[in-house]
Amino acid sequence: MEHSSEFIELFKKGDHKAFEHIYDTTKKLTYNVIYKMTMDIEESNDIMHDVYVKIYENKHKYQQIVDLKYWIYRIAVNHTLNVLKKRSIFNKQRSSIGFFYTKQINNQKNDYEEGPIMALLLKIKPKYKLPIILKDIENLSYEEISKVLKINIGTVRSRLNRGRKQLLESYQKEVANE
Amino acid sequence: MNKQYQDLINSVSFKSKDVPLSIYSKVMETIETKEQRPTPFDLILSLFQPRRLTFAFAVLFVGIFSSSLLIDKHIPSSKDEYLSQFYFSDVPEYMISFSNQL
Repeated sequence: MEHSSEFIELFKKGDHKAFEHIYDTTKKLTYNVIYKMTMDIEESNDIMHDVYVKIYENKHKYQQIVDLKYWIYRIAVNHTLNVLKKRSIFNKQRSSIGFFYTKQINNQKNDYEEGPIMALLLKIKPKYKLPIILKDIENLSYEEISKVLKINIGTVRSRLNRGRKQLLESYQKEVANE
Repeated sequence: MNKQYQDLINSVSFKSKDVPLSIYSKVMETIETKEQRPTPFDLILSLFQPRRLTFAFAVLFVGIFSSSLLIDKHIPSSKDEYLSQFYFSDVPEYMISFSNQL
């Protein structure tokens, strides 16, 4: 959805109604991408809060070169990557992969309905994981992914292929081990 | 590879998470708190309000006045009194006699 110039100006001036509208139209994808990157609800809630505060504080920096929603998703993705890097959650998650599997096998109710796939995704580097989340899970087009990640479509395709290959290989290894 | 991958992805139904309602109110709370918080420039500007300026000068005046009271203002009346300040009163007697011998 394209926003009009008047609307963008209102948002840049700090109009709370305009900000609320932007939040409502972008929150779902933003939250789901953050969640699928962190696989932690509490962490996702904190990141989501910080992302939208950051968006509001940096509203004057937005330039209408790219659509507002892609600018927002980019902030969300970059902020999530920074948080993950800072808190070294990657290591924590890697060590808890076994835990995901145990939960899935025991058929216990948990937050990770997509269990094995998401657990395997955590093993993949963020730059390969992100295109998979955006394309195969959130159904964004190549063009949209290139706008969010600020890379060209060719790079999106190659990263996606590499990510898919890694995911499939990890899955096959897990199946062979069972 | 693509077929196998598609089968793998299709075997999972990815559920979309609902965004907790409390997030937006928390975001707005943070934004409003930040907007109300004075900037460093506001703080400096607030110092120049007449009432605060008067109070600052009053504190400064009282400070200078009270510190001047604490300073010993005794002025020696003679040269001997002035020089006596530099004598050591607790010099042992034998040292004085020794110095006199010299």
